Amino acid sequence: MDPRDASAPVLLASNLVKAHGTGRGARRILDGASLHARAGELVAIVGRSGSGKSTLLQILGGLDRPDDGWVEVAGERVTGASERRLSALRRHRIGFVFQFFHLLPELDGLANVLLPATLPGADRAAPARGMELVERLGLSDVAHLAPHQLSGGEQQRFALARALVADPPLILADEPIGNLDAASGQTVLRLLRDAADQGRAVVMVTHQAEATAVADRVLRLDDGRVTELQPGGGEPLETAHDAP
Amino acid sequence: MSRRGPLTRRDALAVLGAGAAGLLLGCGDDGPGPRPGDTLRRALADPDGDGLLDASGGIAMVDRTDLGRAGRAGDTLATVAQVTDVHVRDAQSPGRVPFLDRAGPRFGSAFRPHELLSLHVLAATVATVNAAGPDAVLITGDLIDSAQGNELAWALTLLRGGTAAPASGASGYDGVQAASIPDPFYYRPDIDAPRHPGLLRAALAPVRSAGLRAPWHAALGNHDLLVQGEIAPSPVITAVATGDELIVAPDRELLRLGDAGRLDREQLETLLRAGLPGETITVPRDPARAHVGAASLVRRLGGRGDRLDRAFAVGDDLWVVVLDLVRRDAGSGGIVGAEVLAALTAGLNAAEDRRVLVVCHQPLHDATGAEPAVALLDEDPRVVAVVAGHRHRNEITPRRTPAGGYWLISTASVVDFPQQWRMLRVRAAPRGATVLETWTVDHEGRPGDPDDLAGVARDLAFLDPQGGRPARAAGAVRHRNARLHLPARSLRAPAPRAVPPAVTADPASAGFGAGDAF
Amino acid sequence: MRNAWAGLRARPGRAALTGAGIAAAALVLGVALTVAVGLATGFDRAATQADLPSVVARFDEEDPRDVADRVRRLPNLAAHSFRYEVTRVELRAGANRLGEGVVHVVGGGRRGYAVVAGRDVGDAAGEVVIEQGLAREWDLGPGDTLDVGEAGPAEVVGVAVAPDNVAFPLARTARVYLSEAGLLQQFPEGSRFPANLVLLWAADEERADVLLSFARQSAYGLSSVRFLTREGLRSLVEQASGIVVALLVAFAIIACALAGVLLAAGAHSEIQRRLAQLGVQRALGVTPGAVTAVAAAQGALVAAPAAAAGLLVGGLLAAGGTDAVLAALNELPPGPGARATVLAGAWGGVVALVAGSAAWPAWRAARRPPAGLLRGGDVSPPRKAARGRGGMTALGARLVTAHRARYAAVVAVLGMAAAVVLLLLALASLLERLRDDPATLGKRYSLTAALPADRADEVRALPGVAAAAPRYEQRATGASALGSPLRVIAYPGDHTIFEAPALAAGRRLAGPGEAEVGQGLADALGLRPGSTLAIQPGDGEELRFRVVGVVRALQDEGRVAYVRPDRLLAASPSLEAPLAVRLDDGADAAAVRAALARLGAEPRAVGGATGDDRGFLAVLAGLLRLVAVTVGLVCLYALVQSLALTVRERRGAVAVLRAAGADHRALRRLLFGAATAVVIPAAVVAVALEEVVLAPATARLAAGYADLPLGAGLGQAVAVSGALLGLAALASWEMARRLAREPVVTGLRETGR
Repeated sequence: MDPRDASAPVLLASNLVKAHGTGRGARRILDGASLHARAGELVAIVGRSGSGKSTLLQILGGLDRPDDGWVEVAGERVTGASERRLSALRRHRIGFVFQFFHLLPELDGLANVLLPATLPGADRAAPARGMELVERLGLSDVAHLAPHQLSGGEQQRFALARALVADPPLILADEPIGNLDAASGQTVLRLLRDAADQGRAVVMVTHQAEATAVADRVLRLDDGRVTELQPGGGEPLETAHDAP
Repeated sequence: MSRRGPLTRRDALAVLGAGAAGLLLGCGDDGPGPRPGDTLRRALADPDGDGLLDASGGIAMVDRTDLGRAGRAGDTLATVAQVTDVHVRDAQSPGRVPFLDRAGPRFGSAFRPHELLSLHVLAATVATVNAAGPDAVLITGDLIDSAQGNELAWALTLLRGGTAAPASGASGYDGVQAASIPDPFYYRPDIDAPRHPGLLRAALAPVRSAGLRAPWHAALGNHDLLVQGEIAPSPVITAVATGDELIVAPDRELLRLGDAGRLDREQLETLLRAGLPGETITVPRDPARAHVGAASLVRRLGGRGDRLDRAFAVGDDLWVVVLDLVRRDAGSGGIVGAEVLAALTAGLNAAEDRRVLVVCHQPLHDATGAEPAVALLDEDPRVVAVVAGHRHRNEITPRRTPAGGYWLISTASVVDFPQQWRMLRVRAAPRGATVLETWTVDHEGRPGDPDDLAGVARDLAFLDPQGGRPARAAGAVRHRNARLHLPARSLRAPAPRAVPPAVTADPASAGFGAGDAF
Repeated sequence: MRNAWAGLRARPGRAALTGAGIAAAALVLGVALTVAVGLATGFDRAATQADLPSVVARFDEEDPRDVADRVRRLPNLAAHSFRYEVTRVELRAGANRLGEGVVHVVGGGRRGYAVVAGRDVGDAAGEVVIEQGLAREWDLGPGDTLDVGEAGPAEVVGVAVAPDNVAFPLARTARVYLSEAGLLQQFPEGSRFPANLVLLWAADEERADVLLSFARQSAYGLSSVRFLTREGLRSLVEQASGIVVALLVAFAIIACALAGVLLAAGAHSEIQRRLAQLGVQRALGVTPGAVTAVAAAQGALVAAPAAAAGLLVGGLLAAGGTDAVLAALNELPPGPGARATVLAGAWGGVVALVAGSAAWPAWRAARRPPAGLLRGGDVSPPRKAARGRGGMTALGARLVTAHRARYAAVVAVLGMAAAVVLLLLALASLLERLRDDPATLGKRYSLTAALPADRADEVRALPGVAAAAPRYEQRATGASALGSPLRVIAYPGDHTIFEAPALAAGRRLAGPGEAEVGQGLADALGLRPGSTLAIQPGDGEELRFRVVGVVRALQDEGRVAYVRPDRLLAASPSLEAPLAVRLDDGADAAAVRAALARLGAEPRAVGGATGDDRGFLAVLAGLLRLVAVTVGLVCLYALVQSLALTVRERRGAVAVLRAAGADHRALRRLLFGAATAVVIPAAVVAVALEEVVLAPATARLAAGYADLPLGAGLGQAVAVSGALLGLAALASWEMARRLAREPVVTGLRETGR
């Protein structure tokens, strides 16, 4: 299946269940959450702090395993896949952007971007793409500075470039502007929008309402379930429970 | 002193201050401990057997009632100090036989590890004698070691007060204790444990003595007159003493003869004429080593003629008779010949109603031909004790006689351990009885102090395997510190006596070593 | 305390891992302490228990009554005993036979040996006490029968140990004790035995030299007199076999230091791991003092059982080997009480060290603002960011070097452990050579060639020969009446090129007329620098030398004298001497021997000093191997610990990498990079440390005179480095596998980077 086929969702998740804690303190973070995202779409997932948005995102990216349910990325099943398969997926199909940037302090900006390209099994074209991304994102001047010498916005842009260096069809962003000021945040949001416009599926988790302005669809995570909101508010649509 | 009013603060401070000062001074004085001396107050002992002397408590006098019941001691009639067997030695003289020492304890006096320190010990002894303050001092023989002129000069200088150095020959030490001597039978202070590096040099430095304050009288001993106390000097022997060759290790032949006790004058002179038999070193000559003759010796010791028999009074109540028992040819034992009997008789006749002390070097009762002399003494109620040395040991035995008896007192030497002298205090008791108190006194050298040469001498003497320690020369307490009781009796002089006939002819030669100390 | 226990229970895996590390270090410590304490004090302990005399005098037979009088006069003498020693007695038990038995006929008085089994001989006939070496070698015990020469069969009633010689079969002779009373019953013709040995016990052992000095001065009339003091015995026994023993002791001391550093580093890193926890506690209002106390308590709680287990196991493991070595030296092992005391003391030390090493950084961290703690590890940002070349491997190296202080500590610890392993390898090869290497006698030449002196130049010209000179040797007696036997050795030039026993006093001889004497001879004749030595060579005339130095020579119980040969030759012009040949370091001995043979010489090898006993060497080798294994464990642990700590601290970075698609291959490279960044400098440190510090220090501790080749050979250095890299690969492989199995999210969860 061509991952760029606009009709098939790049990301498909069904009935995800995840519980934290044991015994009487156990509670279900996700209780039958389902969602999908298509290429070219920027999907925002909103919810209260602590509602499990990050957990959902991590499960979507295969960083965590759900207790029940399944996830498919670009037609490949993520849940239950071997670690080797998952690593391959993350190398080629999924790019991550985190709230706290997670740049390695020992490397400069450019080296951080090129990090995925140095992994064994990485895409050959990745290094060239990485240099190009750095330029396109306006980071050439600061490419050789260490992360602690950069502003928050610059750091997040480097992180985004790192996520894009393998040209993945799916970008998962966890509170990407949560640590940025308004202006930098706007820049990053615009870049995410651009990434989606280039044909990728971008799934963004945020608790800030203004971030939803760039989204095509807004989903809400409540009591472990995902409901779709109309853009601009309104009645929540029913979510699809079954995979197409 | 009187005080008005209560104690003022100033007074209290003054008292405290004085007390503190006294404490400090006292502490300062006691730094290395008080010096040895009167053994009634302080004695020296080695309880753990490790060869080191330590201060111990005083030894009280033991009452000896072998001759009579304990009487109540009254007035002191006289105090006399007896110093014996000092053996001032010219350790570097070729005229001695240190090499005989190895042949066994019989020759033990031939070499002593501390032989270079005799002057220091004498000076330290003089100091304690003066501290005791006796009425008179008796030096009962063997003041010098080998009848040498320089030995006599040194000894007399220290007794009279002055400075003497035991240096003979050239400056520096030339003798058997040098580090370069390979013979392992000598104690070489630079090499052998306990090491005293530099001792040989320090010992040759001048020694000062204040001199005896009380009047002193000497008895003649065999070592004063005979070479090594055994043989009268002869031109051959004197030539060796003033010569330039010193025997270090003897020929086996010489040792064998000496060991068998059969080396007499003729044999020795023959051997010496043929050249000194054994390994020798070359030493500087010193004419001062020439031997003194009997007449010169007697004169310088305060006598007349060539015999040192005397009698004199100490205070009003004590009469001392000094006898000369020394052989004139060879042999260390005492001999009682006609002259001795004459002197003894005359002395007793002159005693009137005083108590009598008989003094000689060798114990009178062990001398050859002593029976007539002993008979004289046994009949005389005035004799309280016969005091001698020579044996280098403390021993007090009672002599029971019809006349009431008297005590035979032997005193240890100053040269060998215990390096003590004896104090005698004659006290009257009711009805003519006598209490003779006696105790030993150490010289003031400090044990365990390497800078105190007299103390070093005693330390080395204590270690000497051929010295007074293994021979138990110090004796039990009753032979050292004792209160000797004599029975009540009339001190009336018997009628003047005639001189009894002698029972021995003059000196038959005994061999070397016969009758020696131990 | 409750908090501490709760904290531990919350993370049992972590606590167990830390405990394992402490146990490993404690194991090394236990082994090292058992070896060191046992061996270092072996002689003194045996001497005390055996009541070893202060001075032993040997002489030609005498009636003991003649000798007794002069003995009793000696100062500082507490007791004395006479003995009659008979050599070359045939001993037989079952199939075992020995022609070199030595019989000591003992009378009354103190014995000078310790009975370790059975009882001492009494007055009955037919009883014998045998030395422990013989008992072990022939498997004899109380109740067995031993044929003692002409005395016939005797019942073994006891087994004795006396440290005045090494044990059979390390020594060629075996000693048995018979009682004089028993023998007299058996052979009633004599009334008493002669004596040729007297044992003297000093009242004050510190002043035994006074006793010796006066004993010598009183010895006139005895012939062939030799004296041996307790100190002389100690140096003899220690030199004969003690090179190896001293090496082990020295190594054990160093291993103790290593264990200490490991424990401290381990406890320190524990705290680093738990900085976030500390931050939470501080944020909740717990005082720094309480935090420190809890940290210390936790450290102590983990350390107490772990250290106890490690020390106990280490002590038990090493006890067997140590006891075997001690038995070979005729020394006694420490009692279980003494061992327990030492281990208990070490236990206290370890617990205190761990608690202190946990408390100190906890104290320092607790005084920082809690926010800093919560944020995570105190990785200081590098001054200059790297450009990121080299891929995963280089990145791994960068990660591990980020925390400089800890990096340095781990490299140091690993380096030290590897250095110790290098030392062990050098020791093992030295053991082989000791059997054949005369260096243990202070000899630096290994061949002699029967060639006349004027051909020495030819020999020197041979490749591989460092020096050659004629070596004159002659038996002599002391010229005094003591007749003490001695051996005179002379070289025409500087003798230290060929033989250099350690100098105990004075200086080396510089010209004719001077002599260096062995300590045994100095004791026998009363010599010191400055004395005169007078000897009688053969039946020649007396020769005199000035003593300038005293040396600790091994042969002939130290009764040797080194001189220049001119006076010897003047006295005996026909004196012959083979050439002593000293080889260059690393020269091929076989080639030199062949060359010498071509010159017409018959080259002979010079023997070593540890005896021919393979058993003894095997025991020692076993001990070394055991220690090597424990140190290897420690190396592995240190490496794993440093990797685990790095991974733990940089969980975020690892998570990011995995999120970016790093699989176990990538993780392996990452960890291997980190491991090699530690291992390679550690290997360099190890080689340098061993060459420059450990080998010379150990060699000097063991024997100041021999050139003990303890430097690491190239092969050994390569082997150890390779082993370290192998360990690195192993550790990184295993860690990568475990890491790849856990969910990525755990790394992201806790830290902010």
